[in-house]
Amino acid sequence: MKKVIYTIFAMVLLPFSLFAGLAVPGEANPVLATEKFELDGQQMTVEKRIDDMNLTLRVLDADGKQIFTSETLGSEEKLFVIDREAVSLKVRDLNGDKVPELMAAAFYGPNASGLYVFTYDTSAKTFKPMQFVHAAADLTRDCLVSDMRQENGEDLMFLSDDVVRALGMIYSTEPDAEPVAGFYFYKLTDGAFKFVESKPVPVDE
Amino acid sequence: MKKCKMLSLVLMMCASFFMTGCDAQQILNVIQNVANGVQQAMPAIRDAVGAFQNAFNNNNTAANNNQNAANNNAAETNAANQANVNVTNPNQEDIAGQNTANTNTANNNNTQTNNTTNTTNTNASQTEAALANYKGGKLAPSEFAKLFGPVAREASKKSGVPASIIMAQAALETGWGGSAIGDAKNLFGIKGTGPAGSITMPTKEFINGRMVTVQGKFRKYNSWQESIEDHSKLLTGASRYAKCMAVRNDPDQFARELQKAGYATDPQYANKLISIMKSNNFYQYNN
Repeated sequence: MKKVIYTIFAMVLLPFSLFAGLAVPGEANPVLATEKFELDGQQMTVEKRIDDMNLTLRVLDADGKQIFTSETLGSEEKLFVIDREAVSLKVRDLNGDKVPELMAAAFYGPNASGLYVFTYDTSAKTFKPMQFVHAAADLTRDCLVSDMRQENGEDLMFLSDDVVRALGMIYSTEPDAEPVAGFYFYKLTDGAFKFVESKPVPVDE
Repeated sequence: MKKCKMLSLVLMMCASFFMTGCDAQQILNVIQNVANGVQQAMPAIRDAVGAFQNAFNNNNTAANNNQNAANNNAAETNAANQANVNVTNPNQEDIAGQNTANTNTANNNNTQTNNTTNTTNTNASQTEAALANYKGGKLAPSEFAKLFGPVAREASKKSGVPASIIMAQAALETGWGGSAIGDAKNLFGIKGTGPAGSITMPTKEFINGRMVTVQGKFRKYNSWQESIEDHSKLLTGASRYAKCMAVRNDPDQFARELQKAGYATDPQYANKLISIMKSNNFYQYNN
């Protein structure tokens, strides 16, 4: 009798074990990615999570207390590339001030995604998004925008710690000119990413 | 010893059961938490084991358990990052320049009738018919306006997005219909699955530093109007574009807010929209 119970038990549980770890991130688990980092000598955890199509970043201290929650960054998970690797979330000191920056991307539609870089404001004791500035167009945004979503994350890419590149359409108002894909480069200078140049992407015919 | 093995097996199976539906990151987090807990509890465990040894002079075997599962493959998360594109045939752009004849037929031969109401109705129904027959392809700005103006106006009544903005966006983003996905009635090139399913079409993707033609999945709609309504819904539903809706009575400002919110990468996007609206007098279609 005992053996029968054990056999039934094993038969019920074993098939389920095959599916362990195969769930789609974000479907059952709202946490898409986590990273640990140190801030003022304290161990912190940053969490990228999605609740009800609202993607946010949260920072928790060592006791699990939430010390920062971002605004909604988007509605879907998005990868970006740093060190030639597609990642969901990264913590790194980009500007050399010994305080790490938090980097994450999100898709917010209809075709656009943003790469956000949060830096710690020591006076306000909170994280703030670094600005992406296009002086000639008098345009400042809280993220690097790409309107050409690439599943491999290459539309939002760190070329080095202080240079980022977005992939996006270059539009023309001329009826005879088709929109073309372009690279947009920004460089980290004086606490903000500033537009450097844009150029069309080479096309394979 | 046998019981201990059995217990371990049962525990592992229970753990597997509870991990069903978890993703790899979640499992790694649980394992990490367990490992941290075990690490913190180690002194107490050692004390307990020592006491147990002293009392029974036995070998303990239970302290070093449960670490086999810790080496889960983090590569699993990377697997999803790989581009699932197949570099395929470059024969594409088969939609440009077609079917414009249909739009012309809509505007024919109405000059003889004296009944203006009938003429208006006939024109409206002909425009609808022309729109239904339109399969994508570049249009002259005047044809584009005739075809999409009434539809954009109707969609605008529901969503609040100015009709002139809808038309300028469609014109700018598709090159006046040139890259609209006709078979799917997808005016804005939105990827994914739409109300009528999806369609696989050649599209340009960025691979190894170049734009390469690949097969992409695009939203399919039952009508062009549905495509416009879906696009408007995406705009009005996203918190990021909330400021645009606050200035919906001012199309030029709406365009600037779209740009600030990050609708497009192009820093001149708003100016280009405004230029199209002005030069083609798309404002006339606003409610």
